Amino acid sequence: MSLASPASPSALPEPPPRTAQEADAAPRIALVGNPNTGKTTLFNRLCGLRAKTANFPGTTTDARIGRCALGEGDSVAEVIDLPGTYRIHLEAPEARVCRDVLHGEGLYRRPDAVVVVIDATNLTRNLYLVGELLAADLPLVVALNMVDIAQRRGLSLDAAELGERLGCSVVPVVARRGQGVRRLRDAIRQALTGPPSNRPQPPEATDFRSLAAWADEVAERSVGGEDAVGSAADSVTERLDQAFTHPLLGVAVFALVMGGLFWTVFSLATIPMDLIELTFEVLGGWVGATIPAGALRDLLSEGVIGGIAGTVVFLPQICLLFFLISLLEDTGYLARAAFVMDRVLSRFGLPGQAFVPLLSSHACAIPGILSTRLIPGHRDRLATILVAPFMSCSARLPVYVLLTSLLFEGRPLLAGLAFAGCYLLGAVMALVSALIARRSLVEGRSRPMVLELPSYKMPSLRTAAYVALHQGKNFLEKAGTVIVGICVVMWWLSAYPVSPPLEEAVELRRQVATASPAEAEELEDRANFLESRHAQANSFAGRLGRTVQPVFAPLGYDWQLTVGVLTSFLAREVFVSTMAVLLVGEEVDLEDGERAGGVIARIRSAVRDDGTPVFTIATAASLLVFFVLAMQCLPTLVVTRRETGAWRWAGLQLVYMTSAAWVFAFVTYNGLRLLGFS
Amino acid sequence: MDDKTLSAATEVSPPVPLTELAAGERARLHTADLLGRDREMLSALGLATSTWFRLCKTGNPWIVQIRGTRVGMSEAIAHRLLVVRDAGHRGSGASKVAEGSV
Repeated sequence: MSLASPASPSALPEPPPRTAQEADAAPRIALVGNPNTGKTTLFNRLCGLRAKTANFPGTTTDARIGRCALGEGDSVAEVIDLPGTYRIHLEAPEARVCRDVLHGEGLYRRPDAVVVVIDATNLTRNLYLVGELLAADLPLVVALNMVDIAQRRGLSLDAAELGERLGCSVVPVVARRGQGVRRLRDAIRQALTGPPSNRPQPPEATDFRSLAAWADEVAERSVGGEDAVGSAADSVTERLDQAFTHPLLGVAVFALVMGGLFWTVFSLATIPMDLIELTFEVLGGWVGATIPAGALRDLLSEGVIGGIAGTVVFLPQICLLFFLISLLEDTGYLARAAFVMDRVLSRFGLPGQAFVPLLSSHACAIPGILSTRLIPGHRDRLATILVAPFMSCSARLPVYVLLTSLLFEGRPLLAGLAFAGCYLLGAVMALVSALIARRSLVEGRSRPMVLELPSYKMPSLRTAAYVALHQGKNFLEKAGTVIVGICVVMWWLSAYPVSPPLEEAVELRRQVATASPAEAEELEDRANFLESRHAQANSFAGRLGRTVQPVFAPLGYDWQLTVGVLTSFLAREVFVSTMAVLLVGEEVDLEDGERAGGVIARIRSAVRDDGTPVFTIATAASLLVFFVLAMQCLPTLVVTRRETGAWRWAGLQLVYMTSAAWVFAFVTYNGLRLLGFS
Repeated sequence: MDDKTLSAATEVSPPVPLTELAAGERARLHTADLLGRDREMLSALGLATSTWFRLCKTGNPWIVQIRGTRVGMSEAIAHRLLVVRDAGHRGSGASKVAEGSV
């Protein structure tokens, strides 16, 4: 399982800008290794945070390129971090990318040298890959990682003997602590500039038997110790594996770990999220006060700043989630947890690894979809991405609060049950939709799982911080720019054309001058309400609402509710503020109980143009079902497009979820009406 | 136990599904009735006809240890692996015998 991988097709990333001293092309180093060998940790040690990310051409696999100083002077190399693979002669996409890069095929520039990272505690299996790389006829340096763990296990490694047998430099390193990295840089420089080494004849890579025999022989001569081949049973590992994959205990541990993870994401992320919102609110206010009134001020303060705020606000959840997932992955637990969930999810055509994206989507579908990178199979990943937004995210909460309050006034138990029912409906729809997808568009069953169960170890905070920052940066660069653009367009649709002053509001303001202070405030509020409502109704979004209303009429929505549904396409929570503006004339803070209660009461009593109530039991229930199931989140669609590499999957997600929402809302509305709840 | 002993043991043991083994037993892969990519994956993880492994855990997931690599596999995979028991070894979970190629 690895977090590094998908992206949309584009060119191989260009390295960071070169300095004048680096005018000549820097040599390129390919970093190769088995999964779970600490390859990415070593990449971070060599290149730091300045690495650029794009993707390998024609694939959805992430490519990271960084610059690494090679010892003294200004000697610099470009390091390309290749996807982890057990062998390069596999048919897996990761192996294909490695093969193409190493052979310099297609758009790839052939590397000038290869650094292969191998796990010192598991030498024989890692040597299969080294054996294949020896045939690539490129200068090779072996980074023998995790030598500290190997020593603790009683293994004695003879790096010189290993180097002799492989015909290349072998540098013992502890990547997570940065030990041996300087020697590794020197070895890379020597490999690039020194004479070709006298390399032994490599085994035939396609003949696994001879490759295995060669690896055995090399390992036997290079490793000593009581358990030189590392096959002895480790009673702690055995017991932990028994517990973590147990049908009952395993599920209990899983629930505890995941509950803790999401509680942490929910509770800790709110602090920076509130700060971000406050910062942009202050910034918007400052722009509003500084720039003269007009279109430019509105565009900047509401469109651009609002759009950026709407994007940046996702960052804390994304970074925190990836930080915690990286820690969990590093401990070795995540591979075991995948098997626990595989028992349930495989019945719906999803792999065990899908549990992280699906659970993450309860916080927000965007990090949820990003975390599908844990899933190795392309079709498995695609099916998970398509259904993840069905899981009730935190943005739905304000809508659920509003609608359950409208449905069950003064009956908190029923409101709570309805709330839980929303989560259940979303989860069931996700699983059923996965089953449908695996029998139609993404045909196939989830592959039975075969996973390496990595050794249990203490996680690296540094690596987790790198992963979190990398994912956050990636989100801002790739998805953020599009999201901001869309937010600006949606703001423009809601704000324009500017309506002429409403006569009724002008008259009310005229009366303010002669009214008592209390009356004046009431009159001002009423004038603001009428103006906001008038502006919304006459905006492009409002006009669209009136035009589109017949589509939503069978669900019981009038034009006001239709505008609410349309504007909340930007983000679900916008529905609440739109309803407040259209029906009440002020913003609702649902956390302010007393005030919210008053506003909800006013929303409840709001009427349609014909004088009938906007919200009946049937309409409120229909809306609730619609919001549980509909794809009312543009940023999620942008991320789906990015992760699947095609707009058609984002389009399918939009059409499928919205259609399902419409049908279920229709059944709910008309079913309740038949039962007399209209 | 040396390689010759292991080979001799193999010759007299008929192939059985992996799921018939008890935890702690050692065996070697005989045939894998799997799709190419799954077979490739197992082989890349070291589970090949030339290599001995130890069954660490029965039941879904089945866990085997091939030298220093622990591999978990779902029941669907384990059912499709025919293995040859190391008849001379009825190991316990705390076996200290080192596996190797023959």
